[in-house]
Amino acid sequence: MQNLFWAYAAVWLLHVGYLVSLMLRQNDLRREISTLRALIEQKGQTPVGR
Amino acid sequence: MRWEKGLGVVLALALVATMYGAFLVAPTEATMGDIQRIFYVHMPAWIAAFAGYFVVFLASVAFLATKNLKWDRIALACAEVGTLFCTTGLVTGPIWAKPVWGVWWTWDARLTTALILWLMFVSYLLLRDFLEEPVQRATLSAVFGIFAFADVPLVYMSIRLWRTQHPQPVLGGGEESGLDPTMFQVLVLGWIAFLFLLVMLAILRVRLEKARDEVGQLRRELMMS
Repeated sequence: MQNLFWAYAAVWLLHVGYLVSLMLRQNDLRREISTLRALIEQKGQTPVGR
Repeated sequence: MRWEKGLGVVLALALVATMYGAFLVAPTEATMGDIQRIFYVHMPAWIAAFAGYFVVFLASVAFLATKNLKWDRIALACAEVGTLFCTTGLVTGPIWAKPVWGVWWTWDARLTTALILWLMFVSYLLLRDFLEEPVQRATLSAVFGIFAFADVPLVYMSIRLWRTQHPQPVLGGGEESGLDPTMFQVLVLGWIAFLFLLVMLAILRVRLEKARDEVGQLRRELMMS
């Protein structure tokens, strides 16, 4: 039964861990995109995608 | 988007139903006992891994034919998510094997080809970090992805072609194969849940890659200004 518990725990940990990693990476990239767009606008240009 | 929320709801229901089915509905297997319930995540994980790698194959061919980088993003997303499911299979397998076979691992055809598959796609993911230029990276990755996919049918057929420690197929394995109808229903639930999970994670991963491309583009623009 212990092995059964660890198998299902591993499945959940791997997948939830991956999902959390995706979300954290997405948030970091969103922040970087905002920063870069603000810098480009400061320099008086219209950034790509706007 | 509304359809993504719908997909999320269906995925959540399928996962809950799979857990419920695996622990409370499926009968206890006569020889192995409760440890056999790992089957309801172990096999669906491999099916999802194979499906993900099949999309890598298709997207790689599509990139080589069209040179459209969107296919490279799809291939990368499915390679990464496919490797997640492959890892799941390689982790749950030995956990199941230890009490049943007495060993965590054996170098039989199924396990060895499965490990080779994992190693090839981990290499695919690492290889990409060494190439800066997008088209060159995508081209080399596409060729490697097509080559790596060749191991998938070998993994699948290994238990049919050779005598292995890994059990013979329970589905479509000939006269002596077969699965209890209730077990089969729970297994199908697991397949559905894991395939939905594959789709959901791949969509999120493609979105991440689009955001990385946008960062790259904005950085180049900033440098030029």
